[in-house]
Amino acid sequence: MTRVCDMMMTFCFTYFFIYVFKKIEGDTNSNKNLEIKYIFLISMIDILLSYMLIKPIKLGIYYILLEIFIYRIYTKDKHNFFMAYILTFWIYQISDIIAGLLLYKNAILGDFLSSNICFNTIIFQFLIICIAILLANLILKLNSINKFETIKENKLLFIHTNIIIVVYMVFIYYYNNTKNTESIIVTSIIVLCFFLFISYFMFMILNKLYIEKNQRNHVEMYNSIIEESLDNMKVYKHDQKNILLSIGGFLDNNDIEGLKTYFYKNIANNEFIQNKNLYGLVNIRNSPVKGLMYGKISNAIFKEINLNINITNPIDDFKIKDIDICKILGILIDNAIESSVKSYDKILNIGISNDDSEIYIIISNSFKDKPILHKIFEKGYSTKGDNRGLGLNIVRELNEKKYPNMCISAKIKDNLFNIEIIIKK
Amino acid sequence: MINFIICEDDKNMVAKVIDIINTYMSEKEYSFSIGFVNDSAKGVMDYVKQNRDKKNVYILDIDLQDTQNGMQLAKEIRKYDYNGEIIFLTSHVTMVMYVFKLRLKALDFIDKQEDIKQRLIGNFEVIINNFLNSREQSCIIVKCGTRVYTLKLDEIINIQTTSINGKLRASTIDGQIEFYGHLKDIENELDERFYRSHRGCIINKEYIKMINKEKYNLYILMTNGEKSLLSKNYLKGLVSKND
Repeated sequence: MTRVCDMMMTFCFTYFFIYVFKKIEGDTNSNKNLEIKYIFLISMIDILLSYMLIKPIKLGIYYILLEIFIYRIYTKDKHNFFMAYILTFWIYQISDIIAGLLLYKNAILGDFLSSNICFNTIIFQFLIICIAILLANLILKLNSINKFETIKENKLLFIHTNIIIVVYMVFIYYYNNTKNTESIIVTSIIVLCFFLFISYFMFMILNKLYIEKNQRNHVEMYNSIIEESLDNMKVYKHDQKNILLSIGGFLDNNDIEGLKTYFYKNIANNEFIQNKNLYGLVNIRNSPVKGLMYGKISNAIFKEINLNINITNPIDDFKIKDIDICKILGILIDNAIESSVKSYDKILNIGISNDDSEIYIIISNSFKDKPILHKIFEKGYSTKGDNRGLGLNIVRELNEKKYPNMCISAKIKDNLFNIEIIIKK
Repeated sequence: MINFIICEDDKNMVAKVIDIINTYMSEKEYSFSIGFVNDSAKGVMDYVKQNRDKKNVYILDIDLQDTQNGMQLAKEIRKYDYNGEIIFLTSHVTMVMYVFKLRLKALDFIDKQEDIKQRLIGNFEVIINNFLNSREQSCIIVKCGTRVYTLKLDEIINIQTTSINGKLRASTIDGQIEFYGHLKDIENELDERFYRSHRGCIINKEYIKMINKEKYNLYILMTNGEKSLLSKNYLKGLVSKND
């Protein structure tokens, strides 16, 4: 009778452990079939083991098995797996202690429960599960989980999780035999706090390391954008200086007519001021992308390309890491500029449009040598000569490996080479 | 029978456009109708929803006085009418809208200050040509977000899966289009020219150049030089059908 009771309780406990885990992870999809099968399997193993092993070891194995099974069921975003698992584990241990406090502190209730074991397990587990769910909701409200940027799966985290489980179980074993409920509870709380502190500490360190590494990449990228802008500035200043010197020449000779012709022909009528429509550049609110765009645009202006830019509405977040969107846009625009410069029409159009459901980016350029579309994304293929052809491959790798919400399509239409990027929000 | 819808707030321009349409269409003896004329975007969408089955040609002013500008109107129209032709009329300043020509599948952007008669007539000729020739062509419609691509079956060389579940890539004679979908759903919409050559690839048999049957290096070489995936299981079906 008690065994049946135990089995049902294990089943419930496992189910609700997974339930809380899902809540914290935020994973709404799940394979219900697989889930039920695993829960059944684990409960069976648990019952079997309880015949063979002492409680703490059985519990330790149970939690580790649970970890493995949950890892296999939830494939959504393994980045937060360990953190969510440890959190769920702690929530249940805390609920355990609280439930113990509530039920056994009260002498009358304590006696009643000790006498009827079946009832005991049912109420105890039930209480644990309720408290756990409450705690989970509380933690979600506090929203402190999101403080940690997604930390990649780390061997360290894996070892840490399992050590905690094992050590905690060993601790329970040593104190299992004490009849004095007071001391158990006090020491459990102290040990729990200690381990919580260690977990938190570990996550903080890993998080900092991760952010630092990221920052280094960002800094490198910003540096290259700034360098490019500086180079452009140098050329621009040089050109302006030359123009001013020649104007000075005309003035020295008192040649006003000559100056007029020179001015109207070369400067005011200068094609490269007129053939540009730059609408909406101020709409890019994202600083690194803004810098990049300004850099590329000034580059295009110098190369006397017919530029049309249209950024229809403000855009701040590209839903992709800054460094990646800068890489992609940088490569695509550089390609477009190089190709359009060689062509006869020298057209370059860039458009970015942004609404609630998606971000749409299009880059079109005229070309001289028609590229072979299915090859352009391959490593090493280029219309620009040997030892080129790596850029679009990088773009495609980023698209394939990292961002399922982004689609990149290439099309040749109206004698323009068009690349469209659609990012779903 | 071509149905015109005009949305323009300058009355003179409207009269001019209608005049050009009347003259050209009567001259060439094509049947047409002027379905809807308004000076703002109001009512256009209701009209579109009720008249999707017609071959519609929309002549829209990009900078309407209304809150909805021409581009947003075009996006709305595209949701209901994939085949309609859209011609934008724009003043010189807003010509930058044409960077989005591909997205809106717009036929042309005409500068109001230019000679609109020439441009309009040029566009009408293209429309009529396409209209007469394209009635027989079948195509599939694929989506990526709100962007809708109409791929003509004649032009598709192959469709492959990417390493992301649910994202496919179609190789056509003039493009590589990525969109969301699954091969087994698309298979139903294709015709008998298409054959599933691999778990992750459907090819158009008309573009097969050579089949490489080497044991550990199976692939199909397509006429544009691209290699399509081929697996042993599907090889037999392909060879027997090809005989």
